[in-house]
Amino acid sequence: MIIDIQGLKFAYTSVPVLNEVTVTIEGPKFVSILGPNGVGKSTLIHCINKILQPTGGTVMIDGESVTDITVKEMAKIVGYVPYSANDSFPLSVVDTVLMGRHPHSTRKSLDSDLDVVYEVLDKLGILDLAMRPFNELSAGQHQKVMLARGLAQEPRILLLDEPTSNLDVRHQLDVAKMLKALSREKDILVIMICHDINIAAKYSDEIILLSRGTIYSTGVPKEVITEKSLREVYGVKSVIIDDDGSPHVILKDSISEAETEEGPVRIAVDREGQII
Amino acid sequence: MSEIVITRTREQLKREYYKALSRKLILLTVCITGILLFIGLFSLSVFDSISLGETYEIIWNHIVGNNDYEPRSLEWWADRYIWNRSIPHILVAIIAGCCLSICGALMQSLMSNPLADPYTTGISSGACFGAVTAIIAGITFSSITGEMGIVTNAFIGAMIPALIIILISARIRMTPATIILIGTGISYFFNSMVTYLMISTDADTLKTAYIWQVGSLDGMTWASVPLMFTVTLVGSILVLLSWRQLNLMSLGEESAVSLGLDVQKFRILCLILMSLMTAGVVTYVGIIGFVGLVAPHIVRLVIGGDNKYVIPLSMAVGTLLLLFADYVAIQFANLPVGVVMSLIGSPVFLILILYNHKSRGVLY
Amino acid sequence: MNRIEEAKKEYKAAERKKLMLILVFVVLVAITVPITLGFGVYKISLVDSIITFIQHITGNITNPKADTFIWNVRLPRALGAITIGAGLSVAGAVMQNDFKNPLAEPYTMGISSGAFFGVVIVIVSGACIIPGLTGQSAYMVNAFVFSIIPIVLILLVAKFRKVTPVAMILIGIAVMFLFNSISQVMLLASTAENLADAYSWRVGNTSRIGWSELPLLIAVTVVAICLVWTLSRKLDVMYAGDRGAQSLGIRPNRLRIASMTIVSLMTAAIVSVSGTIGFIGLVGPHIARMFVGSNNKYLIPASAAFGALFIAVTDTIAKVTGPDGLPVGVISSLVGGPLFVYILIKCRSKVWM
Repeated sequence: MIIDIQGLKFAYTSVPVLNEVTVTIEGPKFVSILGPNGVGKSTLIHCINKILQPTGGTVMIDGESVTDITVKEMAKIVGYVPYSANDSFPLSVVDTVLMGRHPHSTRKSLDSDLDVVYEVLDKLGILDLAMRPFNELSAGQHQKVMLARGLAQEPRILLLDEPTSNLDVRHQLDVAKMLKALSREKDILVIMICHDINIAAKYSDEIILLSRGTIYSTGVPKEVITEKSLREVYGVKSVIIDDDGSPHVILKDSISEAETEEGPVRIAVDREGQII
Repeated sequence: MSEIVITRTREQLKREYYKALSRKLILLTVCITGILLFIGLFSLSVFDSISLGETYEIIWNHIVGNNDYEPRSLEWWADRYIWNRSIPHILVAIIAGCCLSICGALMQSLMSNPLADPYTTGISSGACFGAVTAIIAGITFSSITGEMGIVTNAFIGAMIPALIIILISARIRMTPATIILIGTGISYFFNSMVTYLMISTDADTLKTAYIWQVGSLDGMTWASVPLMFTVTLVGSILVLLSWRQLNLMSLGEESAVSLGLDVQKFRILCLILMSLMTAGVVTYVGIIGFVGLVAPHIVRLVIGGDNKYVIPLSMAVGTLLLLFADYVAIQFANLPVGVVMSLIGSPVFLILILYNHKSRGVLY
Repeated sequence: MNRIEEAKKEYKAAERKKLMLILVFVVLVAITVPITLGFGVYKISLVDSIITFIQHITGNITNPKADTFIWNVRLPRALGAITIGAGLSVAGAVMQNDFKNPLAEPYTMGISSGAFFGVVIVIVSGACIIPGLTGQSAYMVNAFVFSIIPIVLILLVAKFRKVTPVAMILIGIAVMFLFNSISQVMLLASTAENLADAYSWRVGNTSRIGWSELPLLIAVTVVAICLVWTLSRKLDVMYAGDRGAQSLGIRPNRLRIASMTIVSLMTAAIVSVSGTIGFIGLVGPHIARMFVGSNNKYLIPASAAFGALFIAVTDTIAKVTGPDGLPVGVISSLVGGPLFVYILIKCRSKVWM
C-alpha cells in the first residue's frame, strides 16, 4: 500500500500548521514520525485518516484520494490509536476493544469478532484485564487497550499517536518490537508518532523527520538521525554512536537561543488554534 | 495531546495578547456602564419628575450625606422615593445578579459540566419546598410566621440538600457526577412534594406560590438587603481569592491533588459556601433562573475559558442581565423579573451560540 | 488457546447474566400489569379483576360494569404506563450516550417545555394548530407540534453548520427557557383557574390515556425503541469520542442527530399524551446501567424494561391514593428520588464516571 501526500497544507484557523508536506510512504513497513512538540505530527496523521480536512494538497491511499473514501471504508483500511483516552467511559475492556471490530462487523459476526478481540488481548498480554471496566485501569493499561482496539480493527495501515508514552521501558521495547513484527507478519504499513528517538531509530524501517510544519528529511534511521539534523530540528547538541547498525543518540545539551540564528518566539497552540 | 507550536514574531504575539485583553476590558466596561445607566433609569421610573442627570445627583448627595432638602420640596420627595424604593430594589437586583452568576460560574467549573447552575445541588427545590409549605400549608419550621415565615422556611429548606450532600460526602468519595446525580435525586424529591402541595390547593394560592417560584424583585425594602449583602460580599471575596485553586481544579483532579490541593475538601467547602450564598438570595427573591446558568456561558463565549476572568466578568454580566430584565419588567409589563430575563436572554443566548466562532469556543 | 476459550466463556457468561436480569425485569412487568388492574376508584378485588379480564377475552362477560372499568379504563392506562416508562427510559439512555453527559434526559432538548407551551396556548386562548379542535385532543395536537420545534431547530442548524454536542445542549436550554418564559407570561396574565389547569396538565398523569390514543403511542414507542436498538453497536462506538468514533468508521454527528431525532419524536408523542413525567428518563438508564453496564445492546432493553416496571408500579401507587390523590409524575419522583440517592451511595462504583 502506498500513501502519497502531495503539497499538503493545513491550518486550524489562520495559523498554518502544515505547509507543503510532500512525502510518499510505501508499505508494508514500520515508519516513525519524529519532530519537536507541535510541529504537526498529529495533524499529519489526522489528515491521512480523514479526521481533519486539509486546506490544500492531496492525500492518496493506493491511488485513491482520501476525500473519495467513505468514513466506513476508511475505517477498514486505516486503523488509528489515539494518544490517550481522556474520556473514561464505563465499558468493559472487551467491549472497548470490540469497538475496533465495528467497521467489519455484520449482524452475525459477534462470535468471530470476539475471537479476534481475545487473540489481540492475549497477544498484548492483557487477557486478564478483559472483564475489567475501562475507566478503572491505569494510564499504561489504557494505552494497551487502545492499541488493542487499533489492532482489532485489522487495518492495512495502522496509525499510532505516541503509543508508548505511558509505558515503562520494558513495555516500550515490547510494543515497538511488536509493531515491527506486525508490519512483517500481517503485511501492513505501521506509522507511529514517537518522541523517543532511540526507540524509533532502533526499530523503524523509515523515519520521517518534521520541522516547522514541513518535512525536514526522510529515509532510513542512519541517514535521518544525525548530529546536524538533531541540532537544526530540535535545537540540541548530541553525540551519535553506532549500535548494531542503528544510530543511538546521546544527548549532550540544549542549544541556547542566542546560538540559533533568529531565536523565534515559540508559543503553544492547542487543537483549535487557540493560544494556551 | 501533542500541541502545535508555531512560530510568530513578538509583535504579532503582543497584538494578539492585547486583543484578547481588550475584549475583556470592553466587556467589563460595557457591563459597568450598563449597570450605572440602569441605576439611573430605574430610579427615574420610580420618581419621574426629574431628569436622568438629577437622579444621579440625588443618589450621590445622599451617599455623601448632603441631603438636607427642604421638606416636601421636589428634591426632598425625590430623595425619599429614590432612596427608599428604588435603591433597595436595585441593590437587591445587583446582589442577586452577582451572587447567582458567580455561583453558576463556580458550579460549572467545579462540576466541569456546562449544564450546572447554582441550583444543581437541589437548593432551589429545597427553598421552594420551604416557601410553598409556608404559603400553602401555613406550616413554618420555626416560630416565625407571616412574610418572614416564608423567608425563614425558604432558607431552612434551601440548606437541606447541602446538608444531605455533606453528610453523604463523609461516607463516600464524591465525584462531580455523584454530586450532580445526588442533587438531582434530591431535587426530584422536593419538587414532587411541591407539586403535590400545589395541585392540592385552590387556584389562588397556587398562583401566589407560582409567582414565588418564578422569582420576583417586587417589594424589596432595605430590610432585605443586609443579610443578602453580607453573605454575597463575603462569599464573592472568598471565591475570587481562590481563583488559584479553581485554576488548579481545571487541570483535572489528579494534577490538582499533586499540586497540593485537597480536591475533595475544596469541592465540599465550595459547595457549602455556594449553598449559603444562593440560599441567602433565593430566600428573598425566589427562584430566579437563567442568570446563573447563562451569564458564565455568555462570558465564555465572548472571552474564552480562563477562570481568573470568567468569574469576575460573570458577576458583571449577570448583574447587568438582571438589572436590564428588571427594568424592562417594571417598565413594560409589571411581570416577574425571572420571566422577562429568560424571555430576552434566551434569544440572545441562542444567537451567541449560533454565531460563536470556533476560535473562542466554549471550553469543555 | 485454552486461556482464550476460558476468557471468552467468561464474557459469554456475563452476557447471559445481563440477559437474565433483563428477563427478570420483563417478568416483573408482566406480573405488575394484572395486579395494577385491581386498583383504582372502582372497588373490585384483585382476583375478580383478573377474572373480568379473562372473561372479556373469552367473550363471556358476566359483570358489564366491572368489564367497562377494567377493559376501557384500567387496561389502556396500564398499557400506557408501561409504554411511557419504557419509552422515556430508553430516550434518556440514548440522550446520555449521545451527549456523553450523565445529566442528559429526554427533555434536555426542551421537548417538555415546548409541549407545555402548546397546551398553555390552548388553555389561555383556546386556539389550536388544527382549527376547531377543542378539549383533550386540542391539547394533544398542540403539545406534539410545539414539542418538536426544538428538534426541528437543531436539525436546521445542523444542516448549515457543524454543531458540537455542547452547542446542541445549549440550544436546547435556550429554547426551553424561551418557551417556559412565554408560557409563564401567558399564565401570569391569565386567571388563577387557567394556571391551575395548565399546572395539572404538566404534572405527568396516566389517567388521560384511553384506547383512542394507545395504538399510536405504542406504535411510535415500539418502532423508536427497535430503531435505536438496531443502532446499539454504533452507539457503543460513540463512547470512543468523536475522533475515535470517526476513525472506527462512524460519523458521530450524523449518528447523534439521527438517534436524537428518533428518541425526541418518541418523547414528543409520550409527552403530548401524558404530560411531563420526570425522573424516569434521567434515572431509569442510570439504574439499568448499574445492572447491565453500558453496552447499549443490553442497556437499551434493560432501560426499557426497568422504565416500564417503574412507571407501572408507581402508577399503581398513584391509583391507591385515590381519584384526587397523587399523579404518577409526583409519585415516581417522590419514591424514585430517595431510592436513587440510596442506590448511588450503595453501588457508586458502577455508576457512570
